Amino acid sequence: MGKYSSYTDNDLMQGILDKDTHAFSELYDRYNGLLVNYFYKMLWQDKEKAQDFMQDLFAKIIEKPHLFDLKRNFKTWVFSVANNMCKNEYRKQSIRHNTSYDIEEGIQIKDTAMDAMDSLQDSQFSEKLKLELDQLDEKQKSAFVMRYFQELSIKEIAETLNISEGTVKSRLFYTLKKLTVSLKDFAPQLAKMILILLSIAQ
Amino acid sequence: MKNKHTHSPLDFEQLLLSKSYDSLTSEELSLVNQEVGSAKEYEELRMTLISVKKIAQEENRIVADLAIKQALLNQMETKATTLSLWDKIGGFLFPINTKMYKKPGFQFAVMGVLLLLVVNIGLNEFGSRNNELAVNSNKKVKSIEIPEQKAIPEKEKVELIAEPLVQPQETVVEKEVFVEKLEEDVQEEVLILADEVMVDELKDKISVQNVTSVSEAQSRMQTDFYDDSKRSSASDMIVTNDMVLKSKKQKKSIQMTSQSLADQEDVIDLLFVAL
Repeated sequence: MGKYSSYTDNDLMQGILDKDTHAFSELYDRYNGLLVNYFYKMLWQDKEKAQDFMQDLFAKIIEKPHLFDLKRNFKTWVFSVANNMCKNEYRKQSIRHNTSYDIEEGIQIKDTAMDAMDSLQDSQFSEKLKLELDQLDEKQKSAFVMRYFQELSIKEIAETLNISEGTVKSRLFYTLKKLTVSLKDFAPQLAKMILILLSIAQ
Repeated sequence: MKNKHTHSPLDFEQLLLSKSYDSLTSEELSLVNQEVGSAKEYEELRMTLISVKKIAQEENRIVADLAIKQALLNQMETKATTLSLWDKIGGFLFPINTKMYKKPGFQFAVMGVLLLLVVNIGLNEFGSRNNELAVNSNKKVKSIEIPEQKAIPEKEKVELIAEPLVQPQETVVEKEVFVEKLEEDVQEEVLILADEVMVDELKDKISVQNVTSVSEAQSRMQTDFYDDSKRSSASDMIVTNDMVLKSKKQKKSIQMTSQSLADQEDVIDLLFVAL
């Protein structure tokens, strides 16, 4: 198994094409955390759903590994597949937006946010941020989550979403502006605390 | 007026994370002022971005259940061990990550098409030859059977001698029928002339020769038929039949030539298609 850790993602995909179980195991270890958290952020912080989607994605890789072009970057490819799965899910949810599922999810999050008002300031901010992220347009949200939660580079996001780097930068900037307006009651206080801590450390 | 085309949000992001509004240089200020209206707005953006980054770093990341990995590994092993026959054949014929022309399936397909073309052209050639053979098959010429004549009594012989043996008028009619047939196949004038000559010769023979009986006359005609020099005059019927046959042969040979040319055209067309 040790030798697989030195393999590139594309080498591992070639191994999966050749029915190598160890190659799949290594690839899973590299990406399961990133993907399950991406789905978690994108799909309304639903842990079960995030895990199901992540499993589905890896099952697709097992069943149809030939869909991946070995000349492409695996990371951007797998995130583009994940993003498409999220889009499909949004579409499904928008079709049945009046169902109990959405109402329950919404109430649950709001209740959590309401409860969080009594807890620490950063947790309040965190909950508010989750709420605001869920309110964002799908395009803005995916770019923002990839950049600040999955720590993908601008270039990787551009490849994943199949848009130019300039468009990615623009989306990130206007999303930040939008969040600033909605989080202005929380962010400054937390940020001030962070800045104070940073100045003490220096 | 703000110039959005020269703005780079990535640089802006770096500025937000690293510098407060007060510490910006004049060059950085000009860049920031393209997007931000005031120092307050810049500070608010800065606070939000720092907070988001902090939350993202400190956030408890969820971990996938171990059972998921095990289930996926089982699925992978099952797929690796249970390759269906079609998968094996497909894998052999169309291997992944191989150039199209190197795939055995593609090569077999090309060979099959070529073989089909070759066989098709070959069969066509063979077929055209058969046609030619069919055209060439001649019908058997019915042999002329001369019925045996009964012996004629002496009295009748004398009467027969008195009357001319062969009636010239009837012979001319027969010849005319033959001439009509010949007119269909060969050139009119030549045949008519030949017939007239033959009729004259026959008349002369009948008038000059003193034949005693019909059987003698017939036997003489037969011997004349086998004699080359006299065949044309004695066996006029056979000669005319032969001429009819010859003319038919000429016609058929012309037909055969035209047909073989038509077949050749088919072959040429097929060769063009194959190319």
